[in-house]
This record gives sequence, C-alpha cells and structure tokens, in this order.
Amino acid sequence: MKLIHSTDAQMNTLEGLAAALLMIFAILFVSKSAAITMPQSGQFINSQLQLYGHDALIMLDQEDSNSSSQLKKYIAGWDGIEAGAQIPVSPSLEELDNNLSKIMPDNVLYNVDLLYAYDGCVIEKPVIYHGIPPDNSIIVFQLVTLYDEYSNMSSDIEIHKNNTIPDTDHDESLLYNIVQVRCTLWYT
Amino acid sequence: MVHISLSDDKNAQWLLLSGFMVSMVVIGLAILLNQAMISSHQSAQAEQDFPKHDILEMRSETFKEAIRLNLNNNTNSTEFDDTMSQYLENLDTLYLMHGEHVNITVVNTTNGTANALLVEFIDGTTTFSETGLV
Repeated sequence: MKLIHSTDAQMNTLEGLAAALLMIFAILFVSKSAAITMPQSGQFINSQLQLYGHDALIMLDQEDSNSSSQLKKYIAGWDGIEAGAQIPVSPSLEELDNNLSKIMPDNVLYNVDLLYAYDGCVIEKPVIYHGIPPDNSIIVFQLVTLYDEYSNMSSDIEIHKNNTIPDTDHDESLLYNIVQVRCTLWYT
Repeated sequence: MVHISLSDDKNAQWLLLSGFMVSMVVIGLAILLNQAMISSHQSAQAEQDFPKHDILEMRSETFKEAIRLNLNNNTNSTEFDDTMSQYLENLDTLYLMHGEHVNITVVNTTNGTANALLVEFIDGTTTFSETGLV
C-alpha cells in the first residue's frame, strides 16, 4: 500500500475553516454594530402587554342604553382607601381587581392608580397594588367622566361618601371630575 | 535576445477572483441583515411612539360625553358650554402630565340647533384635529 504524500486536503480544510470564521465574524460584527439584538422581541412583548391592558379597560368601560359603564361605577364607588404594601387592594375595588385578574393572563401583574385634576394639579391615588413594577412595565389608561351626583347627568351612578376625588365645580358645570384610570402592567 | 515566457498556470487568478466574489457576497449579506434589523426596529419603535391610544381615548371620551350632554333634554346650552369648558380644563391638565396638549372648541353649526366640537391634540411631534357633530 502506498500513501500519497500531499498536503492539499489539509490546506483545503484550513481554507474552509478560515472562510467560515471570516463569515461568522462578519455577521457578528454587523449585528453588534447595530447595537440591537433581536429588537422585535422586546417590542412585541410591549405591544402584547399594551393590548392586554387596553382590552381589559375597554371591556370594563363598555356601556349601553340600559346600564352605565362598570368601570365608572367602580370609580364612583371608591371608598377613598389607598392601596400599598399593607393593603394591596382598596376594599371597595376588590371586584374590579377580581375582574382584571380574570381578564389578564396568569403571568401578568398590574397596579391601578386613579389620576385626576384639581386646582391645576394632577393628584394620583394608588387603588390596586401588586408590587413594584420593573423598568420594562407598560402603562395604559382609560378616561372616566363623572357628573355631579344629583344632576340630570348622573344617571344611576352614586359617588361614595368617602370618595376623595373632589368635585371641580364652577359656574353651571355639571361635571364632577375626569378620572384617568391608569393601569401599569408587567410580566412576572 | 531575451525571451520571456509567461506561465500558463491560472491558479492564482482563480484564487483572487473567488476571494473577491466571496467577500462581495459576505458584504452584501451583512448589509441586508443590518438593514432588515434596523428597519424592523424603527418601524416597531415608530408604532410604539405614536400616541394612538392617547388620541383615540381623548376623541372618543369627548364626543361620547358631548353627545350624551346634548341628547339630555334637561341640559340647557349654558350648562353644556360650562360643562365642556370644565371638561377641557381637567382633561388638558391630565394630558399635560404626558407632555401633550389638548383643546376643545364648541362650534355652533349654521342651523343653530346642533353643536359641533373641534378637538385638537398636539404633543410636539403629532398634531391631530377633528370637527364632529354632537
């Protein structure tokens, strides 16, 4: 048996290896230079959370000719107790929390705050607290308009006697206040 | 007389040419990949940055409440104007917190029986305005 003395095969293998390395480094260099690693995944998660939040609030704010928005009833019926680490949910809003938890997927947590204007300032009251939101949390909101309790626009809405949302009356305005129901969502 | 003979071996030329071709392909692929990543990022970011929900919520809540006020037979025009004025004041305060400005103007229509509202939204980048009957 005679072995052929030639280094061509080794040289070809080395060339192939060098070419592969060159291509890998070129692709790595380009992807790093863009300073983005799969940006779509993060954006997709944000959009998904936004959709969950919007859909949940819109569903609760639906109204028809026979009944007012459920969300509006919850806000008017808020007893003024703020949520926090000690009281995760304001007692009067436990039903709102239950409804939101049913709508949201199990791996999504949320906080709910009520924001309203008074005397040129915005006042913020936490009413549902499920933890400190991380940096990548998403905020969505829904506006709720409340009218003076005994005005001809109040319909069947009763404002809780301990509700701390103030009446911003002036002149002959029937408006009680506008409340921004803000929901902060994040994945567990 | 000196006779110069050129070699017939073309291996070096083929190596150079194939190296050139491979580098061109790699550069082309790299540019394509880069552009694809940047464009998808930019389009997704633009969609996120556009205040779609802020505008939709302002618009729908304003027209919904204005129509409700207008349809209520017990509400007179002074109450309508004062309520919308107070509504605008509170709404603008809430939106200013996001760096957005809203404006609502009650516009009387020509026949004098119905009102129209001009709603405007400005956040420095996006401007939106719409006039609708209520």
